[in-house]
Amino acid sequence: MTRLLLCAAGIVSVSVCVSAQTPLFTPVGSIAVPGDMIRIDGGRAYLAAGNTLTILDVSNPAMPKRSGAYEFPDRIWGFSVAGSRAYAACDLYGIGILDVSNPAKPTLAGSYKTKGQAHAVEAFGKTALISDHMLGVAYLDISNESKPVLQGSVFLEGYSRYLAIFGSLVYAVDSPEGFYVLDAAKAALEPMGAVQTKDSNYGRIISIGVSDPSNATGPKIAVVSGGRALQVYDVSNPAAPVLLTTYATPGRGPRMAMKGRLAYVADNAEGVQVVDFSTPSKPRIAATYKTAKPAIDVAVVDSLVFVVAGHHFNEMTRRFEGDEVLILRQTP
Amino acid sequence: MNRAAIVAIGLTLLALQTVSAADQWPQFRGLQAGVVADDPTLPDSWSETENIAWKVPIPGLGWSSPVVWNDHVFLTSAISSGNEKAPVTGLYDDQGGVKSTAEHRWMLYDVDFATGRLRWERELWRGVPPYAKHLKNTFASETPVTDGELLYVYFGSVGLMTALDLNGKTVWTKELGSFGTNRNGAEYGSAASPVLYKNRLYIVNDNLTQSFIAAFDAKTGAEIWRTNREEAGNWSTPYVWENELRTEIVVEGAVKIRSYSLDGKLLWELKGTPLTSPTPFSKHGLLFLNAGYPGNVPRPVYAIRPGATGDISLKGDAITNDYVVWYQPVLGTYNTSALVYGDYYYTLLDRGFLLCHDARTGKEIYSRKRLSAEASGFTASPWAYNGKIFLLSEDGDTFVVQAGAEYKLLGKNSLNEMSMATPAVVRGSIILRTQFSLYRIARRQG
Repeated sequence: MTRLLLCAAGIVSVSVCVSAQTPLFTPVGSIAVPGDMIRIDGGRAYLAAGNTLTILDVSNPAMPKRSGAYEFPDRIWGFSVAGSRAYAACDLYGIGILDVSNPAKPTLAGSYKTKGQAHAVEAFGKTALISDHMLGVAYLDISNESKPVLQGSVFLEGYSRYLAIFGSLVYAVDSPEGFYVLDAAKAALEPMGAVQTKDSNYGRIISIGVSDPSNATGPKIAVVSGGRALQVYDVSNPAAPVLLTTYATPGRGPRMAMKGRLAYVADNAEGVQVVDFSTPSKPRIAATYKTAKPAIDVAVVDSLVFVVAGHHFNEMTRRFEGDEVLILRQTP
Repeated sequence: MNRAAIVAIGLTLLALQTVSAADQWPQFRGLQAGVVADDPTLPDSWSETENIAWKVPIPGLGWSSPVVWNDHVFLTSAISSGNEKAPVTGLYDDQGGVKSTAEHRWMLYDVDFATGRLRWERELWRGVPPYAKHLKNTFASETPVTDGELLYVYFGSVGLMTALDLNGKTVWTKELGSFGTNRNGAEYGSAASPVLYKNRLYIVNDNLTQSFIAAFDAKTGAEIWRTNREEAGNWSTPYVWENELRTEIVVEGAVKIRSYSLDGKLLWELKGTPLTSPTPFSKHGLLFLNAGYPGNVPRPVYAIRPGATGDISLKGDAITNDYVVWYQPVLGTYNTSALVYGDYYYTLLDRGFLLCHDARTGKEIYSRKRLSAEASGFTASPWAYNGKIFLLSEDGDTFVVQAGAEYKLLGKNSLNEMSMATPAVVRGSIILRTQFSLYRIARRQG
């Protein structure tokens, strides 16, 4: 009761609000570093802010350390990491492929100028999939990283804003038209299914999470954030995604990470909101972690939750970004 | 009458015989909204070395189109004394405005049609641009207009309107003021060209201070009327629509598309679109309105019949009414104006697709055809002659497509230089502006 009252009154800047049978969070570490987006891979955290990709060693979550950084010629709209490579979508520069084998000294392995603004990039084997304003979803052969070759593209009606890949399925969003599912395993990347979500009003910051069907019952769902509310799609049949519901978190945060059927939303001044999609058509807030500064992005790996928080205005991106990474341990 | 006068009259008559009004290109998109009379001497193919009559460097930067009268090719440009951020091809947003702190010179050039020789140049304004612009815009994006006696130049970026004779002598000058058009935190600059009709010059300037449409006496520059508009930004050149019932001035707008009488009274209006760059035009007795931004909906195209009054916006889910003959909700383009050639309405999407509809009914003839996955953005408006449609990309590649109900790409002509200005097509020649040069493209004789 006391805890609930404290949360409601907002008396503490850092607190934990939980409901029954929901995660608890314990801060284990933090580091001051500019950040707008965060990805975790192999004991490292990768942070993009403006045109800089910073690598942190988070193998000891209690003592995160900065390893190195790389500056691209243009601002980073989206990035992904796979093993020894980081792929950055850098606005009008196109994409950059970074060799991060030595995190202290990341080096450029290749680049490709897309026709429009590159907004997001993911690797699938020797193919790079790019969300590009002009082309829609472009796919490049990156067998020779120093000389990527455009293989083709799938046009999206609106401006291609974001994509994410789960397994071989590519989930893409354009503004203002809708949500698409494509199969990267097929030679000719054609949309398997698409949903036109009129008036979805996607912003430029979007994230997509897909439920892990291995540890959940019910339909496979994809959650898209970045519009007015989270959009929840049943993607059990990727050829025919179905919009199940929308759900607005209190802070309307545009970035989130998904684990199982929980969506961890970096919910601006509302901190981290954990939304439970066990019943996809009836999402509910399962937990809240109030951060002292606005939550900008979040990543979840095993029991650790990485939160980018802060309120620093970046002139290059003309938006607010974080200035620290908080590492939380989640129980259970 | 002395002998010299007789000779002069004879030469004038000869000139009138050899150069008719149809052989001029006095305004943006010419007199027929990009459609050129068939002429077997016009080239279908060209390159940096093939079918180039001449190529001359043009200093500074400007995406205004060339206009042609007799042997004069007129072109404007703005030359910076500093180092400016170069324009980038393609479609993008969230770039903010590009502000220059360097002194610029706003220039007018007269180039000889036959030889490419610079006949004269005039500096019309000098100063620091008061406002920023979109990365791809220029400070000289308005196309001049001429009636063959005077040339009218408007630089919205500094608010200057000037009339010169064809020898470059200034006849009158007016300062209309420069205004911000800040949208979404970014200044995009200006682009709407002046329009000339029967001794009146019409200017539309939509801005954050006080948007207006105004008519000026073409001979003196005296303001005849001015009507305020509730708009905040507009890059679309107005259109004087001579139809079977009356003559009116049609202006696109983000808030409303409006038509005015020749004395500035509002005749009718229609719900606007968020971003307006394409220019209205008419064909087959219909007015075609087209605008839209790829990141927004709707992106409407309307075909309007003459005689409307009041608000003719579509109600509810209606797609026609007494004056809207047909409507397409997402066919509109960002920058390129549409083309009606023969029976068909062609849409060149800014991302390099061509679509074809029946001009009279709006029925789809063929859906989106991608010109090339390698193509960059398209900003120049299409033109047509000899049964072919010409589509100039920002890369400087002109794609040639067969006109008609079946899509067929015939070829690509590359100049390998950024291009956003709609060319002039006149007397067997294409006058095409690239970022740094002006070309006359014509079949090689013999």
